[in-house]
Amino acid sequence: MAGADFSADLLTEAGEHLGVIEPILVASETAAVSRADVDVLFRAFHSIKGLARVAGIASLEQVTHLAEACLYPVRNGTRDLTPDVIDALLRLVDAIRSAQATGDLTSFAEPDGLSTQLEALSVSGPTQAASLEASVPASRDALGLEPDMGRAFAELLAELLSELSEALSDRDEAALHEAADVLAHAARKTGLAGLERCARFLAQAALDQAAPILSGIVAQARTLEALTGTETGWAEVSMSLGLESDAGTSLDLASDTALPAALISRLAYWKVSPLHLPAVAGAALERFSSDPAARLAEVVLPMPEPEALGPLVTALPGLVASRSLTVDGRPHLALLVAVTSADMPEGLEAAGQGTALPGIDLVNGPDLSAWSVTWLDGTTAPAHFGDAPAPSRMAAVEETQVRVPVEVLDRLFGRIGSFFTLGSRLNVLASESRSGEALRRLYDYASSRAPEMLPEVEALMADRRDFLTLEAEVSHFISLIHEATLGLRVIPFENIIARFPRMVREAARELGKSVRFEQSAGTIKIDKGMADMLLDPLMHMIRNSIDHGIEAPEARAAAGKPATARLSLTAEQHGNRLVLTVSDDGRGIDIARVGEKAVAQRLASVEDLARMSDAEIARFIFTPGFSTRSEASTVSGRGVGMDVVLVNVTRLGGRIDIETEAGKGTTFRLDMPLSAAIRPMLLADTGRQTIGFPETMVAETAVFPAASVQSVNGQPSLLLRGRFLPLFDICELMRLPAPEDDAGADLSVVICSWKGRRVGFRTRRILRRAELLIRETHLRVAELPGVGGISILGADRIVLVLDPDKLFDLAARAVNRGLRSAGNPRP
Amino acid sequence: MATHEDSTQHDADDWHLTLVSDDAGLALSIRALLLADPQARVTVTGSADVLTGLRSLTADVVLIDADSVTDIARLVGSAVLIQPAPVAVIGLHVSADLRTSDLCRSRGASLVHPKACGTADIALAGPEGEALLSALQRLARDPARRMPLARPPVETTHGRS
Repeated sequence: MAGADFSADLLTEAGEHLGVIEPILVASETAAVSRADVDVLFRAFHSIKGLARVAGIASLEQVTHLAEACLYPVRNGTRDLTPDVIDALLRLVDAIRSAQATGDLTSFAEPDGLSTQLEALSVSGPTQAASLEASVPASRDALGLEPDMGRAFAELLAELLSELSEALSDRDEAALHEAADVLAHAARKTGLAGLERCARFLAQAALDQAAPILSGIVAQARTLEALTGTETGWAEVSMSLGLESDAGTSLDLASDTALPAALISRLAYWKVSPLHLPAVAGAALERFSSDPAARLAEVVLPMPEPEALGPLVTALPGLVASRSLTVDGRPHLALLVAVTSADMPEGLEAAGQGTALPGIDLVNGPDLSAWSVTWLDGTTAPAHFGDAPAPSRMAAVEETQVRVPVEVLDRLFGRIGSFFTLGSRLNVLASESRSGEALRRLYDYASSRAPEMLPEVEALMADRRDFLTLEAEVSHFISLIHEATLGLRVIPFENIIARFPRMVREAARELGKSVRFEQSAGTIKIDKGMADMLLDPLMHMIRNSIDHGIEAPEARAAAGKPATARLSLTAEQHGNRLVLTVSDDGRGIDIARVGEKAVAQRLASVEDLARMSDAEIARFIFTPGFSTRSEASTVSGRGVGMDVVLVNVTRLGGRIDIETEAGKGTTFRLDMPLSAAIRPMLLADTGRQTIGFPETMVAETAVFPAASVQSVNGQPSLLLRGRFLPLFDICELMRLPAPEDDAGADLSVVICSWKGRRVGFRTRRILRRAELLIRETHLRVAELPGVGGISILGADRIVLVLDPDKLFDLAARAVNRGLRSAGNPRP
Repeated sequence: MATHEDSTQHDADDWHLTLVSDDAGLALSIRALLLADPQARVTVTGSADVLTGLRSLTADVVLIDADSVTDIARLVGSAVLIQPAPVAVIGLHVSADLRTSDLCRSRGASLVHPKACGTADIALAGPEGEALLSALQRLARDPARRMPLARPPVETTHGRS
């Protein structure tokens, strides 16, 4: 198990390094690479080399060393990061990714000739005349030692530790001193002066004093082993000497101070753990419990002279924390101070911006212009620190973070989903059970005819009330658990699209096009499942843009456009929605050609096309198997992809809009809820099937007498607040089995509004509002007319979840076909 | 190598502290602390230069600013191996009741001191600093205390527990 964990850690770590390397390499093709980026590349390859060494993958260690060799002159500024170097390094990245994909890094196979290529590149730089050996010093380890030297010393240390331990247990002072002398000499030669000093102490120590000194050497051996990866045998010696071993490095944090939440969040800016307050901070914050009027102030001042600091510390009231800060490029000191009424008897409550604090004039004299005092009340953001530091930057939090494999989270989510389903069943029992009505009738009966039974009936009614209360509480807690766990599976959107620049580069090269790809995702995080569903669609769209949308450089030049096309992918969060935009400045969608193809494939008639807008015609590209290309390229054009885009986005509860203009380009806008798994619905019954109307499309519900249906130009309609509302029977529209004849019954109508259109859908019964977990939907189900997904209600009742776009399209087509649905008498 | 040394005249009783820190505020606090001892000198070196700095500088005490476990793991063990001077640690979460304190000692630190008020810990310039100053002076002047031990009798310093 430990081996499996280790292997998984290696894979994860390698993946993280590749995730750093690839974007820099790809970006460096079109923009000058910074020194900092080259350093990052160098370190990342170096880290992979270290991983390879630890895992014993000699070929990977060797080839990553050569990658370092290529980068060394770039790092020194003696050569550029040229395309041939980038190509070679990307080949290496690909090979490592291939090994990673197998789940076993030891399966790494060096691509043919890569070592030779890298070796040649490392010595053939424009100003690089020196040999490889001369240009690239063997990579040093964390102690700054040559790898061979560190390893050799660690091996010697292992032998000497064993001798020292044996000498001590045999009480052989001469042997102890001799071994210690050898160790001191070797440590000096290696440049480990600290270890040398310890060894010299030991070489002169009496036997009775030797054990604690040896324990210090053992501690250093442990460090050396960690840094060089070579066993030193410290653990065995430690055990034989009876030394304590570390129980681990996790923090035992505890707090006996209850701090207001606002203060706790404030402390994050100051890197102070609220779980373990430092001495001064703890005492200062306790002032809040003694004085409810106490206030926090943030003071920022230019870094004072050391001589001024002592008087300031003595005079300032309630110092909580202090930290360095750079303001306008100059070092400043920031102080967090808890001030009580006693500190400022002249009026703490009235203190505002610029109000002086006791003691601040000790540093800069009475001139307060150099100071900045901000009173922090409630949740006021600190004035100078920008975003709060990521919690992981705090040591305490770093130590409490754990890596959890996605499959574990998937299992957890699966169980939470089951829990949600159970809650849903409970909700059905509570809201749709007839026991309430039965009990009322029983109560009436008992009141009038069997009064002796009343206590029992009342007890049953009380049980039912308790059950309803319990159900409400369970529902509430399920919602809370859902909210709390939603955050567990989220990953940065940036991670998902990190591979796109590389893909664009490859596709553009293959098709002989020049593309500048821009992407921006900010700090958006999305659910892992959602990311999995979006990855392929986005790749398809981007490939399609390069293949179909973007012209060859000559064609662009002829059209008066820059030879390099622009392709962008942006992700934005609008409230609780994720909006992805894929945009290019290519030729735009050939609407005439799409229309011709649609007619040829009998997707629409010429008359239909005449009534449709360009955007509507463009949507035919989402039809399965639709392609205007007669030949497929290796990049796209098989008609596979855009339909998957629509299906996946629909499954996620989203929609796609297309904007296209001939010669100017195309923009796809994907708009979907950030949290798609559980969505609020209005449930309605068709008599045979339960339907879920997403709340986003429901405007209102109403019950009309059957006689209120009127025909407007042949379209059944209802007069609602002075305006006619087109009415459709949901069963006929969706081709669902019709219920038994209910002619003359009142009409239960769900009035929906979507993209400026307002339509009524007739159901047989409007049930209630519910939050439904949308199940993974089979492609076939997603293709049902008007359906976006399914959910399960209660134990086994299937709910068809409607898709607003598809439903309104169905309604529009029904109008076009002259369908008369809702008002027609049934046979 | 980014180091800065106070230029004061010194004699045989002077002692020299090398602070490994990237925090200008903490450097200020340590300078203010050492004002109380006219025989103390301080050199500040950045953590990125710690290997070069500690190999080339002679010090009587090395004080490492380690606010996180990562800092401790990265800096303390290396410093103990390559510096003959005793190594002390000052950090945010290293009070005696925490295992990070054990971690520092297991890496060979001779003194572990928790910061009293944030990363810059300006409280060192006031009475709170006296305990650290005394401990550093003892380390610098008492050869017996300079021995890095896995479980040394650690100086008792403040810290909320």
